[in-house]
Amino acid sequence: MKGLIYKNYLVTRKYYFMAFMFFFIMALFMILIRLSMICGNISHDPEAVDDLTRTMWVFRYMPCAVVILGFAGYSEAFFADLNSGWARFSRTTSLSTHQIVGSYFLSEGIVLSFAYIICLLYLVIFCLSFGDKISLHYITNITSLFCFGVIIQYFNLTLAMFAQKRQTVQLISVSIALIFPWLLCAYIYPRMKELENPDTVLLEWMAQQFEPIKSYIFPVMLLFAVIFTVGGYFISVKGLERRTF
Amino acid sequence: MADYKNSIEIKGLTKKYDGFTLDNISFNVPKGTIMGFIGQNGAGKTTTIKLLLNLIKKDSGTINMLGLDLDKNESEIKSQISAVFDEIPFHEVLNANQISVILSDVFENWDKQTYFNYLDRFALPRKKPIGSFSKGMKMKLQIASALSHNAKLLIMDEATTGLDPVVRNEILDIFMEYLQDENNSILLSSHITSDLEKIADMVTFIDKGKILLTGGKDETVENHAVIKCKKDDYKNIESADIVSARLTDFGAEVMIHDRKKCEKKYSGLTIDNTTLEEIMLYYVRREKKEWK
Repeated sequence: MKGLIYKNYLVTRKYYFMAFMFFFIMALFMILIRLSMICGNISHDPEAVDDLTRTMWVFRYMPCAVVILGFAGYSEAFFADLNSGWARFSRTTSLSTHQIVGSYFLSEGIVLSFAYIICLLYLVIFCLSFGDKISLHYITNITSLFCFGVIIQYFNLTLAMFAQKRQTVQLISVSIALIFPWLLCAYIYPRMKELENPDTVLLEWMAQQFEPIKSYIFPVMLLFAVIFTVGGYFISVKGLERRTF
Repeated sequence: MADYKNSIEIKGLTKKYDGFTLDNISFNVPKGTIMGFIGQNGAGKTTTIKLLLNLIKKDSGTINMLGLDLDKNESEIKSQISAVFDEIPFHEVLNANQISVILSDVFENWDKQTYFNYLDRFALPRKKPIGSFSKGMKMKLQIASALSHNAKLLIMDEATTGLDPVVRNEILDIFMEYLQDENNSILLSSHITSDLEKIADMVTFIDKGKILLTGGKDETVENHAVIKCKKDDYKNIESADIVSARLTDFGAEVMIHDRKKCEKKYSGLTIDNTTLEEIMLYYVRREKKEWK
């Protein structure tokens, strides 16, 4: 399977590089702000330092979201690979459908794990710069993000194996992607009257709204990641078997 | 691998689609031969090849390849065959070197040296992405990879279609070399009959999902002939001897399927040699019997 994983890497590496560059730029940006808070211009303004210290807890996850979701979002490349005739060709060889599908799942798993490790390293550096200890809380947040990446990627992969038209994949992906902002709005909107108070800080208020469900996010994400990985794998095998060439 | 006489044995193969049926076809590809599989577009060539490769499921019939039953030994058979299609199956960002690494994992008997020898022979660049290759270069690369894992059987679906005559000739030469090993065989589906005329030992002609002819190419061409005659003479030719006839302003050109018999029967008429292309043309119109 090494050769197949190597192929998948070659086909998608351009996208990974781009996602990594975005991560790097954002991480650099965060670090520069932090440096400025410690010994730069911002350090001269205690109020700004205080504000940024309160809000940067959420921004610190942004580069991680970029790299994990960026690495997860490129099933388009796999779709192009399958439609380059590879799916048909591979079925004319002694490779089993499990090997073919397994290579895609494994490739993406490796890449996402790599992104996960990078994010953990980044977070360690960032937390240390704030004098924070690396608590389980940070790790579960990053792991939840990683699980979300796994869900998106394996869902897209399964879709690419099943649907033979790119438009079908795009339509279903976009439709499902729109559900998340809709759910967010549906959850937040009824509570928005509290924002009329001028003393409310938006990010802190948002964090408070999610406090009751916060403890469920990680186990739910983990559960869905497992379901999408195992279920997606078997559905993909079926999809490849029923694919017409 | 069991000892076998025919590289491919197809018996009573049937596949039904809405509007098309591959109808109970049977033919063999003897070991060490190149079989030309001819027919017009939509005749059932690709469906047959897909069934041979188990890319689609058959409704009934049996397929034996390399002495083994395809249903029971699919993986073993597939490790010993190569399929070549009209389009290269690799992503355009890959280059020839990378393809070698990938295929060495796919094929147990991958021979890197043979592959690179073919690349040199075809003057194909090793590090250039295949997206920048011409159609001819892509086909050469596909053939180089198909011939580099010691496959005993090559199945090609319209592989020479769309290539210029120089590239086609080059590829046909490679096939002839491949057949120097008498254990190797080729099934070459094409509607370019001139290619098959050059290299095929056997031909199978399919039309509307039915096999019309199968056998030695020379024998097939020798048995058929075209009688060029006036309309009055045409009336005297028995319908049973005729495949179909093209009527012109001056007379008729009649395709017959038993030359020896017709030479005796119609000794006063001019009987010309024919080609695979003409045979295909006349058989396709066999239901009309007469056409212009």
